[in-house]
Amino acid sequence: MSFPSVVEIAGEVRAGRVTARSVTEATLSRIQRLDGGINAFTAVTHARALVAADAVDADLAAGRPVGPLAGVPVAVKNLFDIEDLPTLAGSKIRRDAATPSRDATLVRRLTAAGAILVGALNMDEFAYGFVTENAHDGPARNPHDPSRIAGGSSGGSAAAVAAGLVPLTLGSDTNGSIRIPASLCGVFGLKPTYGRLSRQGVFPFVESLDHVGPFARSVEDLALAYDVLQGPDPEGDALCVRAAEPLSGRLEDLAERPLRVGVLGGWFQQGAFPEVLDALGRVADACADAAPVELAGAQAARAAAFCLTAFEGGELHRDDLASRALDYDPAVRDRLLAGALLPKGVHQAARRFRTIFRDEVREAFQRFDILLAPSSVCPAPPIGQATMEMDGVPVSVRKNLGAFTQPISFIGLPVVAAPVSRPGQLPVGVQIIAPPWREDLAFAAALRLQRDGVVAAHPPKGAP
Amino acid sequence: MALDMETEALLNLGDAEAGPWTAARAAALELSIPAEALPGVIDNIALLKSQTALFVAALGDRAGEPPETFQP
Repeated sequence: MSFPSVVEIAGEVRAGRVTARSVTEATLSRIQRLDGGINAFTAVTHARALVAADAVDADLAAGRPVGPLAGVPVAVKNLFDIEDLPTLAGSKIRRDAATPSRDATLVRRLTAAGAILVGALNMDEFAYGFVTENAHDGPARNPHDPSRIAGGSSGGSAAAVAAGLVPLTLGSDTNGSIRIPASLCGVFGLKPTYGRLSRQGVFPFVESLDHVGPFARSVEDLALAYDVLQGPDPEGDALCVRAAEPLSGRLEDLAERPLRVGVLGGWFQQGAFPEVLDALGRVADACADAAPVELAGAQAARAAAFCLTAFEGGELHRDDLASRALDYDPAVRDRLLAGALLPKGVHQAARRFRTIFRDEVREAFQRFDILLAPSSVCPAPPIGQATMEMDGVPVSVRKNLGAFTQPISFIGLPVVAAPVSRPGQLPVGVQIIAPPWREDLAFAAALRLQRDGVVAAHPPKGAP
Repeated sequence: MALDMETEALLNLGDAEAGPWTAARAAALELSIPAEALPGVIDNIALLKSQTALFVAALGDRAGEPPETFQP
């Protein structure tokens, strides 16, 4: 199988046509052969993966039930706890931290469903960035053009899926860190509603904004993973109390229903590159009766998310900044130090604006079931490019790739990030944004667009 | 309702004042900033000031109100 899907692998393993061990060995071999050119992985859990694969095969041989992800290779951003492996969070500082005694909740849910964990993935240091040009582990390279960034901060997670190293990964998204790399690498990503998926065992960045979610190469694979990951977590923070609302079995029906689609303009298109606007237009054209809509508070929401991130990030890292500032990636250090200096009143005002903007968007959802917006400002920039132009003004790549994602995560809305079908070209993605707790609507729209050939994850040109 | 004095002071900084404000604020918070980091920190403070001004302006009279508990 070339670039096999999650559904295909699990089906083949369950049917006994392939063994979990053979899938795992092929995956480990592919990572060994190809990851040198991508740098998606920071650790490969070779021995653990083979033990887990043999356990799945033993269950099948004995007639014991196996989960919906039986034998599916997965990998996770290196801020998820993995038993006996340092939780780096992309940093140098945590290389000598105590190793966790067990996996994060979501890793346990994946493996309980039969998935085989094969490693940990590259990211921006402490998730503060959109580029994954990690000062300690090197840049994650875009499988569609290795001279370009994979996006961030979950760059390794997106690149590993796009390169066909694994069909499913986990990442985190505070300001766009799932949606940006999904867009730049041409894969699907889910940023769920704030509080939907457990953050237990995930190294934090900004408590008020941190989300976690999966990457995959199809809507069906993303939905299957989402169903496995959902549900309250008594060991997690107080946010994760929502009962699971599985999509399996009802996604096809949902995709048949009419959806009222709004296309976000104003802030969400300012400074976007022409190919990004063209891709958004193609998706909007494929949606019957899509209508334009503007959110007056979007720019201010982005600004508030920017400051809230700096404040809470600075607060979290205060002690290490005081004692080990020079061990940080300089680009991250300077942002965290600035955040640590911000008055508390800035944080309070940002939080005050959050509910005001939420209420504005709630009004928009009275008229629309989903909203569309570009994911990133541009296709993947070259590695090392520090600035880009937005509306003729040079701005930092690292700080501005997420200009269109930040207002949405600021108010915790669920988003399926979908790659617009552009075979042979650099990937560009769109955000399919739904009301809170209505991931099903975003999935339904994504599935319909995928069926119509408007969105698709294509293998990189010449991929082995 | 008015903003707190520290936030007002940040918002009122002139272009040349971000550097002295950064040094004074770091000293007040007993947070040492390495010399090689100082230019980058000052740049970021200037950016954070401009971003703060955006949402404080959008808040208008509500800028000093306590935040509500957030639910999506």
